[in-house]
Amino acid sequence: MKKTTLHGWLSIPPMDLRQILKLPLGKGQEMIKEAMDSKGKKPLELVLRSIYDKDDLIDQRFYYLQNFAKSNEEKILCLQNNIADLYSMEENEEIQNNEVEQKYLSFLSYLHFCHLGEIFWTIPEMQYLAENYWKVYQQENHLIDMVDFRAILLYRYPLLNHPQEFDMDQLLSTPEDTALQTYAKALYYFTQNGASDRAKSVLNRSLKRNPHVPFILLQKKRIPKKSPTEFEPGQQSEAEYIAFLAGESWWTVEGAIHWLKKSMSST
Amino acid sequence: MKEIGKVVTDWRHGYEIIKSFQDHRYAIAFATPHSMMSEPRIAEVSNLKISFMSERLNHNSEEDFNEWMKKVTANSDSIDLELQKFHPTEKEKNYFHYREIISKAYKSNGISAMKYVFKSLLYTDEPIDALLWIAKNLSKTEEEEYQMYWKAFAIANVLSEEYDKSPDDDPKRWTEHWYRPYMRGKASYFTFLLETTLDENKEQEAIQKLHDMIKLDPDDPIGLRFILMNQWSHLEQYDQMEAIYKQFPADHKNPLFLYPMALMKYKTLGENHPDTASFIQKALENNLFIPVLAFKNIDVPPFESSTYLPHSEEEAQYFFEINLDFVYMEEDQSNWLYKTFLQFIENFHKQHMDIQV
Repeated sequence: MKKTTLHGWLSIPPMDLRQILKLPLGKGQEMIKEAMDSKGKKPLELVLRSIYDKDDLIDQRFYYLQNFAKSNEEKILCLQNNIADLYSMEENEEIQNNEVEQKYLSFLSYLHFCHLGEIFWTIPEMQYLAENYWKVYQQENHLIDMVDFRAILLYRYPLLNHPQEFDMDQLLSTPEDTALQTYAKALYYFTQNGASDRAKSVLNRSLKRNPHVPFILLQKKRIPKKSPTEFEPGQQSEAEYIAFLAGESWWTVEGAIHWLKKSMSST
Repeated sequence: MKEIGKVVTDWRHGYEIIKSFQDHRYAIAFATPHSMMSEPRIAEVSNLKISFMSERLNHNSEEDFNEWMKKVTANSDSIDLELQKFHPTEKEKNYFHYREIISKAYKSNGISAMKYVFKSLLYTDEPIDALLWIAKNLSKTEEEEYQMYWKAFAIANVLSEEYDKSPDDDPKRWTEHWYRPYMRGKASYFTFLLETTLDENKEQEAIQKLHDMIKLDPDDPIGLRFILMNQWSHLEQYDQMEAIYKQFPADHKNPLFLYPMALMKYKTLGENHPDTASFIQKALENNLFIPVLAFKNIDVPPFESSTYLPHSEEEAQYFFEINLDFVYMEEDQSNWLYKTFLQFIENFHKQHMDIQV
């Protein structure tokens, strides 16, 4: 069964989230949906015209983010302005009385913060901001599969500037159902105590769950630069997702890649 | 800027006028309604930055200030270099950037203009000019247009509220670069209310508000007085027409004032009254294209330029943009205008051709 990746969630437009939650769309949002299926100058026209219908620009900025934003500065502005709008919408009395609307806003804010975190993580001098978000958001539970989100943080653990500030019990409490989770834990245990029995056992389970992973990880050039939007546990798509998330960490932790290579040949 | 919106020369000296217009084309072209203030321009952003910096400087003398200005305006990059020294906040920098992008949008066309407008929305939470651009260029229904103008107005109204209350002996809101978008937001909304069929009850309120806006800048460089004159003419509010005519003596040779005044005098005093004759004579002297376009059995081409020269056909097009009475004249009014026009031409021919002969 296919699962949506975190980056897949981040690419879902707010209107589609509303539809997932069975919330109605406004006229402006219908125009943006029409824009998505149009070509030439019509999409731009429709998106700009759609502003008439709502007080906020959340959908329009998200459209800009996906279709026009070229620099990190523009992407960050889109997301930060949207977060400001989302905060002010939470004050709205009508929304406060509607549980589903509240759920939509809180989920959308969460995804926006995750998205900002992903962008900050790519800018060395802003990585501390990403870590600040993650510290807060590792505790939350939303529609998104938080188990996967915590696994993502575990993969990044060796690269964190302030790893001691993370709640490791929480991160390690993830089950070990999929290779996405077990590869993350194997690397974490290796960073703590080297090739310990615990690390070996988790890595062996990982190799059985998804044997494609080492073939990608071991060849630096094959590590994807972009995240897939969905994956299937045990399949090549999951291996690519793991390699995207964990490539840098496996190559950064001293001896980790060598250990992976050795473990692969022995199994 | 003293001659803004005012007719400065006599139509009969056509040759000299044209020659002089070529010499001073920009000065005069800027000095018309729908001028540089009706749309954001890149020069506006430079002036905005200069005013931002000069507010933070304590110059000891005018010489000091002039010296500084010379340095700041030395080349295209010097303003931005100087600006960095004043450490504007992120929000201020973004706002300058917004004003730059939106002015580029107004200068562009098609997809490129749309991209600029879209991008500008990222940099401000007060995108008045962006909303006005969308209303004017993209909105397909009256409802869409109404909402866009309303949003622009609502932002302008909220942000200018405190400023409007502050005492000012000589308010010149159109010339203040921070404030100008607020003026545009308000003026565009009220002007739209005069045209829309969505909310006809708002017409009187809009007229009142436009009149109030003149108090915010008694020079009225944007020419709201001409819109008001023509609205009052249409609504037969003759006292108001007289009042605004008296309020702007420098416009007493302006055809945008003279034609409605002449028609009003014709309606109230009759064609033989000296006032009627005087107004229509002055009106014809100052723009002959207005009656010519009124008699043509075709639609008047829309006014598309942002500037026009006094006495020109574009001025006549602008007149028909804001005037309803001359488009749908009663038969007797039309006959009177036609007769007077022919008489004027005949007199002109006699007077000037005889001299030439």
